[in-house]
Parts: sequence; structure tokens; C-alpha cells
Amino acid sequence: MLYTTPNKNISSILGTSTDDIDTPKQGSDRILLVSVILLMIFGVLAVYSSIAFFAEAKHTTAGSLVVGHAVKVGIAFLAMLIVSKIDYHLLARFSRLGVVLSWILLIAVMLFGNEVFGAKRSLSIGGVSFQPASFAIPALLIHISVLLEQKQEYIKDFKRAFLPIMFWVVITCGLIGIEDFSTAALLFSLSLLVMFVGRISMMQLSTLILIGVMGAGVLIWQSPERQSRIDQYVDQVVEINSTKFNIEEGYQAQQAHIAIAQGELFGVGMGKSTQRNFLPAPYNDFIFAIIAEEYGLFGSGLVILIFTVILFRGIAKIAKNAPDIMGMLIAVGCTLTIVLYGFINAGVASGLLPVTGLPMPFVSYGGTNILFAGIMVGILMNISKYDSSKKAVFYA
Amino acid sequence: MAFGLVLLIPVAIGLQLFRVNFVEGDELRNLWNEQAIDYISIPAQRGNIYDQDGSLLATNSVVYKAAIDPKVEELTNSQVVQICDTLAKYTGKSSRHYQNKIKQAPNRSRYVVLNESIDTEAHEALRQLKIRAVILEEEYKRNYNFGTLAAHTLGFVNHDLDGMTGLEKEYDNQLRGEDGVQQVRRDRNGNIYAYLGAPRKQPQQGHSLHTTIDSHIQAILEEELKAGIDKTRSTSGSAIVMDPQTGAIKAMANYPTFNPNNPASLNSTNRRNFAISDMIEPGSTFKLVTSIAAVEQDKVQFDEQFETPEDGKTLIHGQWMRDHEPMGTLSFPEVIQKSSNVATAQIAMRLSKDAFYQYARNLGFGTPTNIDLPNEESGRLPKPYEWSQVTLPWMSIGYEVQATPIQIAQAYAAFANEGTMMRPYLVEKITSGQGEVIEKTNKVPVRKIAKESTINKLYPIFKDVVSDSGTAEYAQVDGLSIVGKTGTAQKYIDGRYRNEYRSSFVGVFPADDPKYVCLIVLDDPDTYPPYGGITAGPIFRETANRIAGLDNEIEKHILQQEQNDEVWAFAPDLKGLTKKDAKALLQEQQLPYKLQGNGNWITEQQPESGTELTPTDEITLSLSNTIAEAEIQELPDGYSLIPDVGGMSMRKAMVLLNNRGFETKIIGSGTIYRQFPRPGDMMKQGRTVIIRGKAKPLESLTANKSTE
Repeated sequence: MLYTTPNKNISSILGTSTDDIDTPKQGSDRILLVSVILLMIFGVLAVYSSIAFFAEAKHTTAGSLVVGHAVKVGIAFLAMLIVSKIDYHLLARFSRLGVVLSWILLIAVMLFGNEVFGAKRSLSIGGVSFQPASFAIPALLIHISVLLEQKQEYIKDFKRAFLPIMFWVVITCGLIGIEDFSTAALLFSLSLLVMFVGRISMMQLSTLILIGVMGAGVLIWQSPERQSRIDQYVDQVVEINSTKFNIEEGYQAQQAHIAIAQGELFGVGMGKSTQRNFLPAPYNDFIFAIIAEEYGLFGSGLVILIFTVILFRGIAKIAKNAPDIMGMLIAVGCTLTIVLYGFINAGVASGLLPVTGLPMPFVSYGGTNILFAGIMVGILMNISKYDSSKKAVFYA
Repeated sequence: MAFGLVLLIPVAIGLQLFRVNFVEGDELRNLWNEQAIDYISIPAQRGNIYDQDGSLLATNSVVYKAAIDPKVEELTNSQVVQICDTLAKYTGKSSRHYQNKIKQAPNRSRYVVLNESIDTEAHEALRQLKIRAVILEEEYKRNYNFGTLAAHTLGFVNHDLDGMTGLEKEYDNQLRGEDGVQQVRRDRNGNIYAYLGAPRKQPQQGHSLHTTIDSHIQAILEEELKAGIDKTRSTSGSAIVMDPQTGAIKAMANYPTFNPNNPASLNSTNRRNFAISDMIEPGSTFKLVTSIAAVEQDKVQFDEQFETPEDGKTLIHGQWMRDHEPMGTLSFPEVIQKSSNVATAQIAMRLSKDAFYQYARNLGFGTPTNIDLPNEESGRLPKPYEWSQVTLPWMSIGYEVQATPIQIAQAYAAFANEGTMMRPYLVEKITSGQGEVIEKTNKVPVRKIAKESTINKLYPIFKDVVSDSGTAEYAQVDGLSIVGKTGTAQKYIDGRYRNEYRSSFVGVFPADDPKYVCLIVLDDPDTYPPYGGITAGPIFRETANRIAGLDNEIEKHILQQEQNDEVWAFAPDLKGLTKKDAKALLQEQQLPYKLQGNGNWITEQQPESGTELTPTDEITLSLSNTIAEAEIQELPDGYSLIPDVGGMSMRKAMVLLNNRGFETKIIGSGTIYRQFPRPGDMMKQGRTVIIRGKAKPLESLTANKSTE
């Protein structure tokens, strides 16, 4: 890994500096771009197919909702292109501000948020619904990347490195976790992964994880409801056809299984899903099941493949060739965020994971999550422009 | 590297997808079949029923059922009020009525029917409210376009559109069609969705019936029957109009009646088709059997005289049999014409039981007519070995035998159709929804009831029944020749004959070319006397008159007849005129005349002056050279008798008076209505007779024949 420090002159961002000669402008990652576009296409089609029921409940048509979705996808795409032009170092400068802003928004959600399915997750700002959690994720990940770079010299120090970073992580995840436990847990895990890559002491991380696992054990042991969820989960993984649903999640998992089984190799065809009528939020939590039903094993396999490609490009290419440690860490964080979201959604839909409400980036219906997924890919693309290996080639 | 571990996730997902698809796939797909696939039936449209001109008697319309699910969470009180108000606006019931319905529904009910049938507008208005709790269902409803018209014949359907009575029941299988099936998808709440390309079996539309019913005749018959029943204060009545040549039922009516659009609103007696299911003792109409049997068996001669007792009653094997009035001595035709029970019984007793039974059987009594309607009764004709000693005479006048009105009509139809009995039928043809003919009814000759010669001999006798001297005096229709028979039978209730009657009349018209047989049966008319000729006869007359008005051929025939009967003019008094004057007068009035004898003076005229003339009548004038010698001889010289010139025209009166040597003074013009001095007196010739005239009203020139 390269620990070079490219010039931090703001003018270079605008491409007017003479420094351009030192860091020549390179094309951003094409494969990444194509992958995202493919996911977006899958998403719009699957959402169109599955949103009819939701549309009826909202007294509107599937058409108008899907056009709205397409517009949001377009905005996210635009945001991605714009962000890819902005030097990530500039973003890094405002990282602390970003996290603090995300905190304010998260608190605002708790106070004034719109309640959907019993949880306050979104905020109406000028008529536009906004989920601060989606914003908090990149903000936190960028900020800890910045902090990690700053603290490289004393990175193993518990008090000077681990604790200050954990301060940001714990508060952000705590604020998210009040309303949305699974997102918080995922963000916490992502943060630990980034910290691990950023060379935080293994001892400290392992201890933390151990404490976390024990804490989780206590929580599960304490609550019969959580226990039954675990039982149900084990049941559903072991025996797919079990009809013993003691909780709603078991039913949902089974319906998702049926959807996947209906799809077989090539699927029932575009827009012909029937399980959308049985799955809750088929346009969001279970969109992967809808894709599996309509496009079969090939379609769903392709989606998994695309996320795997993003994983490879993000880690093995962009992060590896990032010009500095911060870029590398940001690349790791963003890649993992997008890919893990995708995998977890697919894992839930295919019954591997317990039911959570995490969307599939670029595919699920929604606004804020697509926007910030787009921004994260934009950051990735921007980092890919400063590919140190390519620069070497250029010089050669 | 650690990231290798992350790669395990997509691999695991891929494996899981594979496992779900191929290892557990079949069972899961079975589960899907169970939960997501359902079949709903697409109701087939019931076939229509048409009359003989193709007017729709029974058809279907779409109605909507409005219900509410009061347990829908987002349903607010104001929405409930809104729904009820909308319904109230379109249905004419108050909003409160609907709100109470919701309030009074069982607590956990999720389906409260608000209105069973709302129209399209109300349906649209409710749909526009876009309230999820409102449940709207579409159904077919049977519509009888003319309400009560032919209600008993058409029958009605229940809520599931199953035919319950009448043609609806008889032809239920053809009318019903076949429901289609559509595969639908279900969602988790049990809502069903149609989807594109779903397997679907189209519903087979029901076949349509084209009946022989003539709506016009049916309407006339119902109207006249009702009017007649009201007038005679009968409890009920039935009537049938049938084509004797084919057996086609043109109309069939019962009163009281019901509206098949709402069959449950009245009690079941109203819905019974008495015309085919009421077993009655026919009374004198049954004498047709006796006369056919007697004539064909050669047991009676037409010129034979029958003595009937002076008091009108006779004892037969210990039972008194009466005529409605003492009749004296009757010839055989008069026996029928005047409907003498005593004489009929006398004739019948010349026949063997078996022969009589056979003729009754031949005429269709004791067996159902097999008309295409459900619940037809077969009547009851006891077998000869069941008979008592008095059965034959009593049966010969229509007692101790039970027949349905349709049987009586059928027997007379056969009589009118030169002895060929046709099966009565209502459905001419059955067509598919696309108009293809599926089935055509064959006209079925059942049997020959008697030799044609027998029928031909008897036919004129029954024609005489409908005449001024027959029992059916009041059934006569001007210009229309009618064959018919009256019937009056005491009702037999609980083993005893009561003072209640069933009166009937059956007529065939036109007699020469029978096109209609019309039977009227009245139950317990409250008139005195209750005879069929007096109660049912006039109903027949009105009905036949109006039916004749519908039928171009009969109408033409009647008009011709009427023209012949019409009074053209009154014969003028021509006696005493000269030949020249008389000729001038007759030519002026365009009256045909004939001269007899030679001479200059008219002494006799035939017909007499003042008689009504028809266009065919000729006036025969006898001529002589001397005028009314007798009259003149008695008068002194120079004197003449003043003639009666009243009603004469001025011109004629002047001629007459001048001939007698009088002067005339005319006041006014036209027909003479007063003269002075009075006629009959002698007066000296040369004196003046003053005559006053005024214009003759037109009616008196072409006087109408008065109606009864």
C-alpha cells in the first residue's frame, strides 16, 4: 500500500493548477460505472413490477411512483458524476462538520421524524423526505478515515487512537440505533472493519468484539421475543419449507423462498411476479426475491456478481492503488458499505440471514439511500482517478 | 487476505439460491400453487325470452351491490357519513337508514350489505369516493321488461338466477348457459387479481327462447280478464288464447297475477299458473265430448226431438238433474244451443261407458297436454270400472271429471282444426347467443279426435250457440262468426256441491277459418245468474273483438260483413207516385229498384216505406194504371186524403201533395218534421198544406247499428 501524500491544494480540484501535470487527470473507473448502471436498471424494472400494491395504498399509480423513483435514480447518478469530479481531500476537510451535522439531523429525526412502520427514520425537509442515517454512514466513515490517517504514528495507542475514534463511532451508531438497530449494527461493523484496515490494534478490536458478542448474548437471553427470532432464524435456515411460523419473519422468509423457487433458472419474466402480492415491501426489503422470481437464478446471480465486481474493483483496485492512506480507507469504507448492504439484502431474501429492513443499494425503492450510495461511488471514482499504479505507468 | 473472507458471502448466497431453487424448489412451488392460484367463475348471461315479434320479455341487466367493511382501520366517521349520503342521494332512502344498517350490524362483521342493487350512476359515485372500506360487487339481475305481462308463463328466477317456475324453469338448462372459469392470483389478504394471459374459459351465454306469445294479445287478454273479473266480482280467473292449427299458445293469463321482477312480494297463490295446474269440473263445455261421441256413434239424429220435463228437472238413478230453465221440446241442435243438461244426459245414456270414456280420452282429457311448462296437471278422468251408475249422465254434462283449462282449450282447438289435435306449445325456437337456431319446435299433431264428417256436422251447431238464441248471446261479435260453448259448473268442495260456480266460455273465431281458440274461466263469479254465457261470454266478446282488430285478415272480413249489414237508407214512401216521379226520386237517392207490371202509377212497394235498406237491397215497385183505387173510392169528389209526409223530403212531399190536388206552402227546407193540417184527414182539393222542414241529421241517414 502506498502512503504518498498528493498535493492538497484546493486549486488542483478545479483542474487549473499546474499540479495537474504531477497528478494527471485519469478516467474514473469504467467497470464500476457500468456495474452501477446495471444495478440501477435492474432496480427500476423490479420496483416497477413490485410497487403496484404500495401504489394502491398511497392512492396513486405504479407508473407515477416508478417515474419518481427513476428521477431519484437519475439524481443519484448525477450526484455520483459530480462527486467524482470533487477531490476527496476536499470532502475530508469537512468530515468533522459532516458527522456533527448528521448527529443534529439524527436528533431531529427523533424529535420531528415521520413515523413509518413504527420507526422514525425520515425527515421532511421542504416536502422532500430525507433519511439522515444514509447521510451519517458516509460522513462517519470518511471522518474515521481522516482520523486514522492523522493518528497513524501512534495508531496502536489505546487512549490517543482507539478511544477518540470510538467516540465518533459510538455516538453516531448510538443515535442511529435508537430507531434503526440493523443499520447501526452494520455501520458499527463497517467502522470496525475500516479501523482494522487502518491498523488499529487487533487486541483492542477483538476485545471490543468479544464484549459486543457477550452483550448481544445477554440481550437475546433476556428477551423471549429476541429468542424466538433466533429460533425462527435457525429454523428457516435449516428447514426451508417449515411452516411453523411463530413470528411474521418466518412467513416473510418463506414467501421469499417461494419467490426464488418460482423463478427457477430464467425466471417467470419481466413484471410477472406473483410473490410481490405476498411479500411485505417487495420493492424494498425483498426486492432481491422479486428479481430472483422474475429473472431467475441468472438474474439474481448476475446481481450478486455485480456486487462482487464492485467489491473487487473497490478493494483490489481502487483501495489498493489509492494515493494515500485516507483514500485507501475511504475506498474500503465506501465499497464495503455498498457491497455489504447488497449482500445482506440478498442474504435476507434468500433466507441466509434473519429478516432486517436493509435496502439493496441502487436497486431498492427509495431516495436518500440511493443518493448517498451514488455519492459513495462518486467518491470511489474520484479516488480511482488518483490511481498510483497508473501514474507510475504514465511516468514510465 | 481478510477480504477473501468477504468473498464467502456471495458464494454462500449463490449456494443458497441454488438450494432454494433445486433442492427445495418443488415443495415451495407447490406452496405457491396453494396460496397464489385460485379460480373464480365468470357468470354466464342468462338467455333472453322473446315474444313472437321479437320483443324482449325477459332479459338481464347489471346491478351493483354496495357493502361496507366497517373494520377498515383508516375509515373515519365522516367517511361513513359520506358513503351513506352518496347512497341516499341515488337510492331515495335516507342517509340515516344506511347509517343504522352499519350500526346495527354484528360487532365483528366485516361485510355489511348496504344496498342489494344500485344503478350504474350510484356505483360510479361510490367508486369516485375512493374509500377502501366500500365493497362493490357486480351481478346480473333478471329483468321482465313488461312487468306483470305473461308473468305466469315466463315464471321467475331466484337470487342465484335459477329458474323457479314457468318457462324460466322448464328451459332452465338452455337459458342458463355455462359459467366460465378464470384463473386468478391471490395476495396475502385473500384479494384476488386477474392477470394478463391467465388461463380462462369463456362463459357460454345462455340460449334465448323465441316464444309464441303475442304481447299484444297477451296484454288484451290480461286487461279484459281483469276487467271481467272485477265486473263479475269473481275470486280469480284464467284465460288462454291458442292457435288451433298449430297449437301455439298466443296468450295465457291468470288473475290475480304477480310481478316476476319482485316475485316474493305476493303470496304463492298469485304465482300459480291456474291455466295449466287448476283442476276444475268443466261443466257444459264438456258436452263437446258427448255430442261428438253420440254423432259419431250414430246414436242421435239431428231432427230428433227431445222432451224435457216441464219443471226442468229429472231424476236419474235417484239424483235430480236440472236445466237452468224449463225448455220444452228440443231438437238435437237446440239441445247444444240451449245447453240442456237433461237432454244431453238422455243422449249420453245411449252410449256405452267405454265408448264415452274413449271419446273423452281422445279429446285429451285425463292426460296432460305436455305443454312446455312445468307443473302441469293431468286432470282426472275416472276409468269406466270406477264409474257409478250416475257417472255417465253426470260426466256427459261435465261433472265427475276434472280438467285443466289448457285441456279444454286444446279439445276445442282440435274441434276447430277439423279434428286434428295439436300439442300446445310456447317456445317456437331456441337460439344461441349469436342468433344461431339451436332447436326448432315441431308442431306435433297428437291425434285425430273424431272423423272429419262428424266434426263437420257438429261444427255449425256449436256456431249456433253464439247467437241470439244460444246460451252465448253475449259473446257475439259483430261481423265475426264464432263457434263456442258456455260452461257453468257448481264447485265441488269437501264432498258437496256448493253454491259456488265456475263459469267458462270457450270460443273459436273466425268460425270459417279458425285462427284463435279463446277460453275464459272464472272462479266463483258473484253475479246472478252465474252462467258462463253471461259472465265469461262478455269477456270473450271484448277480447275477441280486440284481437280481431289486431288481425288484418279478420278485420278486413269484418269490415266487409259490416258493410253488407250497414243500413244504407230508409225506403222512401213511393206509393201513389207516378212512375216518372218515383224513378227520379230513386235515382236521386241512388237506390236500386225493380219495376213490376205495367202502368203509370205505383200501387205497391216492397219493402215497405221506412224499412232499413242495405246496399244490396232492391226496391220492387208494382205499377198499375190507377192509383190506390180503394182510397179514392171512399172519398167524395173534389176531396183527397191528406198524406203523411213527415220525414219526407220537400220535393217528394210536393209531388205527393200535388198529385192529390193540394197546394203546398213550404216553410224551411230539408226533411219535413211537421205538417198542417194533420195527415189522415180529408180536405178539399186545391187547399193548401203547410209543411215545415229542417235539415236531416246525418246519422239518421246512415244509422249505426246499436251495440248491446
